[in-house]
Amino acid sequence: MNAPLKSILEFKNVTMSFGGLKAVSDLSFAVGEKELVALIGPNGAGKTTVFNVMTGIYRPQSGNINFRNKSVLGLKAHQISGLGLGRTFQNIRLFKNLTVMQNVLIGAQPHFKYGFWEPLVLSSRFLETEANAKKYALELLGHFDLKQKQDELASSLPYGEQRKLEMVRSLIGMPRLICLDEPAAGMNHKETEDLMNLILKIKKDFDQAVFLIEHDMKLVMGISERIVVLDHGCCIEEGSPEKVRGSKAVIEAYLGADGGSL
Amino acid sequence: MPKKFKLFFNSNYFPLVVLVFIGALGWGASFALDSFVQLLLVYLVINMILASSLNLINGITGQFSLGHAGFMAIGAYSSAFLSLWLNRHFGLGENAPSLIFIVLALAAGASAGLAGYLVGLPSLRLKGDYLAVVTLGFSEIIRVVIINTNEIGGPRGFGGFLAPQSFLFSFTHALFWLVFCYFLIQRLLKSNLGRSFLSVREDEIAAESLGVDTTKTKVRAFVISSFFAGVAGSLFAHFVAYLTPQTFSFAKTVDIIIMVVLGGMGSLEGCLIAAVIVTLLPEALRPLQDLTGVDLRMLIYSLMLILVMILRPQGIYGILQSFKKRPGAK
Repeated sequence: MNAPLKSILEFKNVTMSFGGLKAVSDLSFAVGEKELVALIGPNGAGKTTVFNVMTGIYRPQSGNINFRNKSVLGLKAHQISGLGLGRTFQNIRLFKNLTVMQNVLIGAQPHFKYGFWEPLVLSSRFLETEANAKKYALELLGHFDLKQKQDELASSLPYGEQRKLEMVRSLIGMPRLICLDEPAAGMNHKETEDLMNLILKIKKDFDQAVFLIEHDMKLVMGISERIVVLDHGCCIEEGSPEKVRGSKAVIEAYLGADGGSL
Repeated sequence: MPKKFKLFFNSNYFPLVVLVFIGALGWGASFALDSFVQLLLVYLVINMILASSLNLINGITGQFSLGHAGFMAIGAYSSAFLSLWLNRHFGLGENAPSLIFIVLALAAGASAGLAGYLVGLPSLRLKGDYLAVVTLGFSEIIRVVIINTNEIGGPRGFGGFLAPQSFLFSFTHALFWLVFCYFLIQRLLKSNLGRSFLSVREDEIAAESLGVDTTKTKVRAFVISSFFAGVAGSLFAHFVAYLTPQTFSFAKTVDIIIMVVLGGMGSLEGCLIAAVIVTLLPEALRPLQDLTGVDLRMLIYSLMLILVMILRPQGIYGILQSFKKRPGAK
């Protein structure tokens, strides 16, 4: 079960350097349709750079990135998002001064197709679209136990719920692949466990691929179907949790060359 | 129908009451008060349009523009020039039909909107201070170009174009545009475009990652805003019937920015109230000057601005909010 049958995201020999530093060098891997893949690696291994090149924030110097069989190189972030790639951020990026509902509705971009004058004349298309979007948003918020908080400001939510809201905001755009950047960062044991169930639930209920960066090994080992291990911008191991757990290269990357002499 | 009515006003009838009140005031002023009060009332409505439209860029979309006077100047001069041209070719004279001023305002708005598009497209990729400098530069360029264009009077000023004879028409016309501007922005905020404006203000990277085309969104805000600045310029031009480039100096932009900041960045009602204060307070303080013999007006006016900013940085909107129990729909 090494390479997935039909891949939704493909990295082909991607290199991204900042000045002299190669954050990602000659990286190739793939994420399959409806697959749950985790990207792990020590600090500074280039994990977030991988996210940033595929979501269009940086442009790699060489190599190619295909998403749903289309190259995303040179596309702007919003265009890539329009292709069906949703993401969350390591340091939560909610619209803090807006309500929970407004946050979610901004994520629902693909659902809105009315002219800018229509809200002024309250056309039936506008009213219907807004009502449907709100209904769907409430349904999703209910799914994540955030329904009662729809009118609260995003900044007033506790940390765990802010993480959840970021996921809802991304999910409402119906992405084909959702990328979670360190979703368990700053969470305690109990919250991480809830998060594991949540990610599995997202995958199952929304029937989509999930790609996550994570440091929490319990979470990664517990839910991933496949793991890609990154060190110094290169993929040093790829495979099932069992394979990665036993890999000598991975242990060396995390603990040093003499392996586990802690 | 009542349901749609409620929806349209967002179940908030306060602005409607204010507008009706101003309307009644203007109607009363049309035959009861002296021309100075009439002048102030029209200035007030024009300032309200300017403040609401600048609020769309600076408060709602979070882009700091310092070029509003420039767009107003484009609207004012293009409308004045167009009316002169129409007069020359069709001989409208003193009894020009009122409809012509609505068309002129539209044309002025369109030309300012076009200028907004041309300036916004390259410069809205810039952020914060850089955008402020570019827009400031733009409005100064406009002013300097006007000073050096003899056809529109240059530094001497520009006059002799069409002007409506009745105050009531000027006032109603201005009020109509204010209502249109206010409700357009109010309704937009409840739509996808309006929420996109807000998302750009809050976090551009997150907005992009959700599929919001932030550059396009900013340009749209800029175009809508400069459209109304142009309309305000046209209203101003035909009401005072004489334009000088000095009117559209940086000080004018600062006046409008004060209204937006004093009102509370991003608040629709706040900037309307602030427009009232900024327009009327210096006049209301005039008796004090007669009493003391010293020009205390500007001193008190600026002291008040400083105090509001220290005590209530959220502006009038913040003061209004503190009376309510629950944070509003914003």
